[in-house]
Amino acid sequence: MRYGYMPGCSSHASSVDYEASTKAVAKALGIDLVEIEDWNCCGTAPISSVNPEMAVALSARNLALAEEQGFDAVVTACAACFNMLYKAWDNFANNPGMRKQLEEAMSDIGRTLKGKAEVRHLLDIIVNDYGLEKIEQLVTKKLTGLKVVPYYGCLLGRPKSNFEDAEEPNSMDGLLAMLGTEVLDSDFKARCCGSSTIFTKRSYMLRLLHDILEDAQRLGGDMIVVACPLCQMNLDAYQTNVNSAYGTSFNIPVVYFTQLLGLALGLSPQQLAMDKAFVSSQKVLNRVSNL
Amino acid sequence: MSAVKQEQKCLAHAIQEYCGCNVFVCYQCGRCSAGCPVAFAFDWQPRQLIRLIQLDRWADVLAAHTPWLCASCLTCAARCPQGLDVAKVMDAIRMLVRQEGCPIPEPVVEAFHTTFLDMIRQRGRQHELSLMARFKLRGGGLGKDVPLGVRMLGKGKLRLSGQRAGQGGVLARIFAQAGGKPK
Repeated sequence: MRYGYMPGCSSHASSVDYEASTKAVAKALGIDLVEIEDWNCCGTAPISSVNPEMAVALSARNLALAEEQGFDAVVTACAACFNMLYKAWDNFANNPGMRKQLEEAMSDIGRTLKGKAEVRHLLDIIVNDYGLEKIEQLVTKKLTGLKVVPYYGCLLGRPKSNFEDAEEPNSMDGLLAMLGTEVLDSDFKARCCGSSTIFTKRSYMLRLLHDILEDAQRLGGDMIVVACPLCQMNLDAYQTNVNSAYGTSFNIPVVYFTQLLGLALGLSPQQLAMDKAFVSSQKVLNRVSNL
Repeated sequence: MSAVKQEQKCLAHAIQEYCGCNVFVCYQCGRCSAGCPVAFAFDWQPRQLIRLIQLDRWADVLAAHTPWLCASCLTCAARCPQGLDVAKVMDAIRMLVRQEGCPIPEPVVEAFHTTFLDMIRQRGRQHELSLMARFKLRGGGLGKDVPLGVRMLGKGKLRLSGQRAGQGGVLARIFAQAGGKPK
């Protein structure tokens, strides 16, 4: 299986840490991620609310590029890119009217789309293609004593997904347990972090973040683990805003699943860009496993 | 807003033309509203908004703030026992408001969406620093996020220069093909 990698726009800025840890972990596992040349922005939620046809056409171009460049699957670590790519693939495969529209849109820009490349999220690849048994053999440092709250957000499972449940997502749970952590089950694990509405309706969205953080604290979690750049940024960078608005004193690190996986594979926090987060995970990691 | 169009067309049909959703399948169970994480901020609950569409209440629906506050989390769509994609209906209402030329109930939300799209059309990829700067200039509250922006720059979580893709007007052609401009 040749994986064509789509980093997504945030990989070059707000989620450089996700990007660095994704690449480091892929290398350690021997998963070859080759970047798709000239991929474009998926448009994510804003474009769907302005022009849904345009939204799927943008992702259709990325699928066409992947096919042309000889990839069997498009892999992305970003939940939003995954959501939009999967929507385009699903429309192309299962909606004859949309398929025709997309074929026309692609031919207009001199490309053809045959629907041959699958759409996969990195978490799916690691857990289901690579498999936990194979990873376990490569783990050099169990993360024993670390209490983690997996947080999935919206876009890995909704509206449709090829690997995750809309209401009870659990792909990270098994992986994190295998790494030695104690996995805590939050009622808020598939709740919305507010996504880009944090920029437009700040006070409302801080309430969503507050509820997620409060539940993680109530459960006694040392950290929240995510698989989406926007979830990470909202919960991490705006934690101080939540504290000022609600009089709370949350100080919960929000890390990517790739970072914890990387630590267990023996990579250093620096190699996994863990110093990029606003809420430091240093203290927690020192306490539980001298990482 | 164009009164002629409204006399001619039923609101539910206008919505269906945009998103393919038939609101008449809704029997008002309220699961969408019970599960919505942003419901506390809405002027109309999702369930009520669907009912207003069924009742052809054009003015109430076009002036509603609810569709503009929706975070597109899709919980409503996942939970509807009738398979109605309520989030898609929210998208359709926004498009209808634009098409009818009505005042946008939440101009800041619209400013963000417009800026986001302009960035894709012009550059092919988002550049978060330019996106935020342009959005702030368009009414997104200049200054509020400057301290965070500075900290992000310091951490390399914002970059001064961005990447580009699909140059030579490729993205603009996709935009034109798919309806030319925001609906």
